[in-house]
Amino acid sequence: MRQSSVLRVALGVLVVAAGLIASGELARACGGFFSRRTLEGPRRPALSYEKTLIVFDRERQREHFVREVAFRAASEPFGFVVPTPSRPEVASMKSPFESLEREFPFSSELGLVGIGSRGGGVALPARAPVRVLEVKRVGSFTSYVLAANDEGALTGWLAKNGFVTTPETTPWLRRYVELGFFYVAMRYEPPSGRPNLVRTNAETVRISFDTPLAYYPYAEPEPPAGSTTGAPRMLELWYVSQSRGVPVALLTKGESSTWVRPMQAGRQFSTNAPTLLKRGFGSALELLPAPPLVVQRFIDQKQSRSGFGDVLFVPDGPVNPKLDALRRFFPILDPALAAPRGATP
Amino acid sequence: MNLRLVLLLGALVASFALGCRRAPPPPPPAASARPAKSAVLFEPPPADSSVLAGPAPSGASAAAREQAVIALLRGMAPSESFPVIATDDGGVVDPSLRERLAPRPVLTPTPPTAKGLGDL
Repeated sequence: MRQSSVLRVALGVLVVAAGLIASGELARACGGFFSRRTLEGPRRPALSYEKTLIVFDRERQREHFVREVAFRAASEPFGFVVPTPSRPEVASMKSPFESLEREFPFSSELGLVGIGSRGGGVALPARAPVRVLEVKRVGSFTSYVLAANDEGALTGWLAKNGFVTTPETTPWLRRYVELGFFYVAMRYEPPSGRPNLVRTNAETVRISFDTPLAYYPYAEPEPPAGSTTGAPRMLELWYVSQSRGVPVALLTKGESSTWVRPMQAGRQFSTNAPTLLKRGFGSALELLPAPPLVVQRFIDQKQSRSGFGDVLFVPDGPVNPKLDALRRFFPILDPALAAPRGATP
Repeated sequence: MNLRLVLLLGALVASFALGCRRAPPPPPPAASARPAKSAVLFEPPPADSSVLAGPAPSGASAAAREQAVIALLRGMAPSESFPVIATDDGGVVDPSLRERLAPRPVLTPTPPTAKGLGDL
C-alpha cells in the first residue's frame, strides 16, 4: 500500500464519495476524504481509532500491513488510498487484534513483569499514466491496485471512480508518483437496503508487499485551508520482526526538518514461545517469520499529521544493508534526494 | 608537605567518584538487536534527552545528504534518542483514550440463580 491508508493505512486515507463529486466534496485531515454532506452530518464514518499490525520479515524483505478499518453509520461509499513501495497483494482476513490486545498490551498497571505474488520492481511502463493492475472484492470494499506515473492522471482516475479528491490530494500523490510507488485504493460499498446507522462495522485488510525496510504510509494530505481539527484520534500499532525497529519520520516545519519518532513506544516482547505467538496472533500467525521474534507496541494520538512524512522502521544497531535496495527510500528521509522529475521509472 | 599530599589524594578521589557517577548505565536488555531465546517482556526504556538530527543542511552536497540518510538506515544514527512526538503537544499518550473512542464491550456475567439455601 503505498499511500495512505487503509491501510495507510497509513494512511493517507482518501475517502470516497461516489456520486457526490459534483456536490462539493471536502477532504478531512487524517487522510480521509468525505463528501461535504457526509463530513458534516452524523453519518461520517468513524476513523478516529485505528489498529495496525506490521509483520516484517527482514530476511525475505517482505511486509504484511494489516489494518482494521472501523466505521460507523457508513451509508455512503468512502475509501482509502494506501501507497506501497512495490506491487501489493490485497486480501481480507479475520481480525487478530482482540488477541493481540490481550497478549501484547501497550502497558500494564502491574509494572515490570517477566513472562515466560511478489510484485517487486518499480518499473512502470511509459504507455499509460494510470494502470489498473487488479480489481477485487475485499470484504465490503472494492480494491484497486494501481500504478501511475502522473499525479494528475491519478487524481482524475480516483475522481472518475468515486474517490473524492481535493487540491491537497494532488501534491500528496505527487510524492509517491516521484517515488515510483504503487497504490491500493479501497472503496467501501454500502449494502443495499436500509443500513444500520448505529452498529459499528470493522473489517480487516492485509496488504503485503516487498520492501527492504518496514514501511508505514503515515503522511497524509494537508487538511483543506480553513478546516479545523480537534477530534481525538488514536493509532495502536503492533510491530513484529526478527529484530527491533525504530519508527522514524521526517518532520518539516517551515524551513526546519528533523527526524523524529512519531509514535510512543510501549512494551516490547522478545519471544520464541509458539504458544504465546499462537494465542496472540491467531489468524495472523501464518504471516509471522520463524521465531524468535520481537513484538513492539506503539501508540500515536496526534490529531494532525501535518508536516510528518512516512515512517520507516530503522535498525537500532549497526547493520550493513544493500544500499541499492534502500536508495528509493532516501527521499522519504530527505526530500532533496528525490530524483529529478522525469528520471523516475 | 603532608597536607599537600592529602589534598592531592582527596582531589583524585573526588575526581574518580564524579567520573564514576557520570559513567553511562549499562544498556537495558531491550537494546539488544536480537530477540531472546525465551519469552521475555521489557518495559519501554525511560525517555532520554532527545537528540536533534535530520537531513544535511541546505547547501550540503548530494553525497553529504546521502551519507546522513545512509547512517540512519544502517543503524549508525542515535535514532532511539530522536524526539518522540506522539501527541499534538508533545506530551505522553493516554492509553485509556482507546476506551473512550472505541469502548470494548463489557461482559457482565450472569449471576447464578440461587434455588435454595444450599446453593448460596
